[in-house]
Amino acid sequence: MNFTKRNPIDSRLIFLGLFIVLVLLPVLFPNPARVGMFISCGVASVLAMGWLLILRIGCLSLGQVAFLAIGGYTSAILSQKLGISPWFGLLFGGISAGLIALGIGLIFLRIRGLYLAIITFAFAEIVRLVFSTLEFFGGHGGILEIPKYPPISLLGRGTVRFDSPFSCYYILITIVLISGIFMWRMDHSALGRTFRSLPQNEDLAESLGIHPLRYKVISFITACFFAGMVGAFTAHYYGCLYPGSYSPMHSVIVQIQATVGGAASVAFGGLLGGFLMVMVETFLLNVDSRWVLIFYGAVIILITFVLPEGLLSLPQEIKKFRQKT
Amino acid sequence: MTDLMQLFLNCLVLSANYILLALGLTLIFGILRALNFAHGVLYITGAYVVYALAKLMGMNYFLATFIAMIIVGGLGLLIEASILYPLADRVKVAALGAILGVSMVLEGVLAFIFEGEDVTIGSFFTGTVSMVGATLSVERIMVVVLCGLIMVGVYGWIQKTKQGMAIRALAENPRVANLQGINTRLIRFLVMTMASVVAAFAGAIVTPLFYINPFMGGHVVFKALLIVAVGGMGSIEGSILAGLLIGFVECIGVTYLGPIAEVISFLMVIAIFLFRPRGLLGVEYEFH
Amino acid sequence: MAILEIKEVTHNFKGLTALFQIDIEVQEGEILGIIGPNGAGKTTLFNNISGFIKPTKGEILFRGENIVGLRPDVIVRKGVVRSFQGTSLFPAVSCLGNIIIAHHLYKEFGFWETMLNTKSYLTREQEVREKSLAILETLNLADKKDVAARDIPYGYQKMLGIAMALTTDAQVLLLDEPVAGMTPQEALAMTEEIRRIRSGLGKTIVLVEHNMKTVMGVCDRIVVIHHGEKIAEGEPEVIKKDPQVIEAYLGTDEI
Repeated sequence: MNFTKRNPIDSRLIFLGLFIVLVLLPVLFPNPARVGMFISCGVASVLAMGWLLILRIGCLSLGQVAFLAIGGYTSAILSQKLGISPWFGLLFGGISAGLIALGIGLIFLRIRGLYLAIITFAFAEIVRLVFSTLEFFGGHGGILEIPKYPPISLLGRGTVRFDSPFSCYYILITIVLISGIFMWRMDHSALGRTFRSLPQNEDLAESLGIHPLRYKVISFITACFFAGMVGAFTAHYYGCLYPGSYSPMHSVIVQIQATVGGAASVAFGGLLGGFLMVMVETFLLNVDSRWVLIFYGAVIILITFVLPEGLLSLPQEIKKFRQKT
Repeated sequence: MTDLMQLFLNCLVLSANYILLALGLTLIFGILRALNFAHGVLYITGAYVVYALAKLMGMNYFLATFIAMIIVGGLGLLIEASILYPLADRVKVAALGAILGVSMVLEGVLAFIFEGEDVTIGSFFTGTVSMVGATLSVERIMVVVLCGLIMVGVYGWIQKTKQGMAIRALAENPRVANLQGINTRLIRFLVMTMASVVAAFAGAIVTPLFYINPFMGGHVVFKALLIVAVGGMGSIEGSILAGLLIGFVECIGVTYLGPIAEVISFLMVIAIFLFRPRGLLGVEYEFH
Repeated sequence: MAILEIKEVTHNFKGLTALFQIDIEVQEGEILGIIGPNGAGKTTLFNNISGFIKPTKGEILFRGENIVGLRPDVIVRKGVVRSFQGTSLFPAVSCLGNIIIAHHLYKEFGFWETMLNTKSYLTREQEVREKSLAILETLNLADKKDVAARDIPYGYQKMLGIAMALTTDAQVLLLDEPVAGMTPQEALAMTEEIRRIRSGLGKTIVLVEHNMKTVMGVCDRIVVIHHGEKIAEGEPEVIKKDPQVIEAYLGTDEI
């Protein structure tokens, strides 16, 4: 990555373009099922962006969905047992995920390499087992009848209701854009620069005055905070939570989506991977749900051999290919 | 007394099963320096082949097992030749992704064919036997005995034979082994095939006892990975020790605490990585 | 008072004694060489001083303050920086990027200033960039500023590594085998650079080296370590004739 030739104007234009497209999507395709799919795309994107941000520090997170779950359960329980509004639930979901990320990050992020990846997996499994066993979290059946988003009244202009995918989509897209811009900014700043130095030569970074754990934790908390926030969103949007939807397989799917998108850009890779893969997945689900697993598996094998840096690297690879021939 | 012996036997069965898988995994890791996540799905594939041949087509159980071992061995070889060997020099992340992909594809195919419902063959060795003051199922005893025999066989082969020595040499120092004229590629293929065959065998002997579904592979291979990590990457003795440890702890835990007892295994792994990364019996090893 | 004092430092590691009661005083502004046969414990000593490992016994004082137990990134803030054996670089980052990263301690950035891209952050970034470009100019690497560090010639890589250590503004530089793998001309250029760093910038330099010509030529004093113990100390002429030193190196082609 070249720190000297950055062109922030291009990126801002892209974000503007994306903003317009994302805002217009449900207008162009108002079919509720379609909009529901776009919502899934958005959720996947936030997770994928977080995965890529964590990859920056050299960590392969095999447990992203655990934080999705933490956010979801936190918000669901707070709204059911303490009557807290789902709007605040978004914030609390993110905060609880972030706090837990801080706690385990301080302990685990000292470990390097594949061992760390395995630990993220172990942690995710522990979270899933806890949620699916303890009665407080609803056990195997999960939590049902989670309150939906209450209407907001616009002074003098009536109320905005959130009982359809259409309106909930805009809540999600706000989260997607905020997290995207935040993580993009982090990645492109001196913070991202420091992140990247760690997997390349952590000892050197340390000897130059960089405190590795501090930066690893910053990246980790950020990714997990937004995962938690979007997890809280899904809890109230779908109205129910099942521990089974936070299985290891789902974490692997996050990895595949992010990898397909491309590690070159945390925000754009995550958005591309999330949207594209979920759209294909939804299409396949309508054909025959058994294809989905084979699809994801085949895609990652293909990507690994043909385009390891993901779709974002396509222009570069085509240029390289042309230069060779 | 019967209950206790039953519990003990169940723990042995679980341990034996895990150990067989962990053995394959630790060999693959030691020689190929790859974490073969597809190992679990190979195990399940072995189980399904036996199910398909023995239960659905009425073939003799032993013949079905034999055929399963051949098919899965071939699959393993295919995976090594087309995925692991070409990616051997790449960054670990890349190989990991591809292997996960392979396991997903195979699971998907199994789900396609067998519809994802839980199935079982039903006991093959029927009957019980009275020993040590308890009534125990012959089936389970046979499973433990067979697993034990395979373990001894593999261990003996690695330690005593010429090929075994070549394998150990390759595990210790791939470059030097190459210079010594040891055919690295052949050894890799051999080890992968052998490990896959053992996995198929483990799957085959387990189908009579449990219900299986196509998605168990990931869970099972991860357990095996935990065992390999706790015992020490690349250490056969370590895998056996850790397999017994985790198998027993889990079995007892699940019996008295329910499914949440699995958390203990995960906590164990986390503790090992934090305090003794090389595992109980492993050697210091650098990951990248 | 010596700028760096290593007092009775012992380091045991898995039953082996890597260092035993090492006593060294480094005077401010001197160039001290540490030599000894392979495996004698020289890099272990550097690891102990720079905080990557802790001595089992003993103290390490920098300007009178004990730095044992401090993290490496804290120690470099105090004023002791080290470079590593081989190349001390971020291989996939551009040359300019490497120097920019090395400027981490220069006006450390705050989280929200960074995230919100404030004026003060932008000013700092611009300053760092200009300083880094200037450093690349002095190294004759300005034309390679966007080339990945792993793609430039080995000699330049080592120079870059030293430049990065210098950006930390630390007073004491621990250089681990600065001329290893270099051609005689490159080694000569490096020794010139080391002299310049001492006289021009007033730094204190401790170097570990195997290249005897370099060591004898550039060091004010030399310490010899063998099997983890200091067996000799003094000026190059004295060390060359020391019987214990010669015996330690007997059978090696190093002297």
